[in-house]
Amino acid sequence: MSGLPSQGRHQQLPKPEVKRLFRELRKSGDHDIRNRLIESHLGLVEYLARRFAGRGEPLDDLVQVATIGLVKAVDRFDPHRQVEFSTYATPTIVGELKRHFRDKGWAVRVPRRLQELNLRLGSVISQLTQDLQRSPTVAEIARASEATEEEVLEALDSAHAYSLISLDAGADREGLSYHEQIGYVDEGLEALEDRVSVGPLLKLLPPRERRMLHLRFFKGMTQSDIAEELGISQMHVSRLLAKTLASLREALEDREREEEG
Amino acid sequence: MSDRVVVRIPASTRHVALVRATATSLAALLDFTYDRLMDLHIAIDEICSRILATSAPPATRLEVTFHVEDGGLRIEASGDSPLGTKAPFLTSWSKSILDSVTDRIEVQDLDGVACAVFSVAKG
Repeated sequence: MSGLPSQGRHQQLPKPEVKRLFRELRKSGDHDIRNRLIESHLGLVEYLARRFAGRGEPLDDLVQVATIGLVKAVDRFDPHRQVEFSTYATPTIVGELKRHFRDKGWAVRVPRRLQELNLRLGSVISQLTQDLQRSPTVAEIARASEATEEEVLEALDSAHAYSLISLDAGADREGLSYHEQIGYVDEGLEALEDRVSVGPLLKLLPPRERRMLHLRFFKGMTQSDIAEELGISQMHVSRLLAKTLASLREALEDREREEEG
Repeated sequence: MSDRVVVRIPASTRHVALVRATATSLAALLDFTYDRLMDLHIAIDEICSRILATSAPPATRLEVTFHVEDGGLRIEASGDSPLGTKAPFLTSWSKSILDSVTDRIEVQDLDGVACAVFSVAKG
């Protein structure tokens, strides 16, 4: 799976160094130190996320959820306590993963057969898009995944029934360098008349989600193009788009109600 | 395949899933690509939620009619109550979303009740 942090890429720091960095972080609040601490523990995140794999959630989603747990742990850890950070962080991360499953109720609602199909669909759709050089139809997806069209449709629907990570979760680590994330100019988004109301909300979005909106709605790229550009699966793109739009819509409508109210 | 399907639901976002499911199933019969199917979902979500958000008094029912046309879908969606005057039915934000995911979108006035008409082609 592309874009996932690998143990090798995120050099683990020696424990005394972790302690030292935490003390410094508490003193200075330095963003770079915080990032460094987060990055050096992504191996732990992936390790824990893997333990929850195979329950019907894509691993990259789990890693994302687990990263939220890690960030919380980094922000809460007290370096003066007589406990290693990794010992402290593990229950926080596991708690976040468990909550994710509980909130989604996914394991209860969606039959195992569909969960498995759903997991396979992501890669089937990506592969077909590559082979066909266009987005595949449901019939093509069904043939390639050896399922009926009905099953594929059910599995696609179930993909949208879950998977909500809070908008400000932010942790973005799929295929985009930090530079790429901040390096683009969102002229399209800025040019909207109602940017007064949408603008501040857009700023709250994680960079990847904002970029996705920009590419889809202002650059007119297809979801397949975006998937390729961001190095994630089309299913992930459509889920993130749907989720982001829903949250924005809710926030905008709240605002409209207030104005009318 | 019959060329017209009507879905009438209580005016609540919970039931919009049913409209989406209907759209999905029609789109699959028409051999829509995955991308267009997802665009269709986005369009339906956006239109239905705008109708729900801007009707005054609040709509109690939502009616969505699907027409099979030129291998694509033309969709008409309306509530059973006029649109309020405070908030615009389609904000420029909604418009830019809808312009990207539909091939055509217009809002018609049916005796005071707005009806959004939009088309999504299959590929």
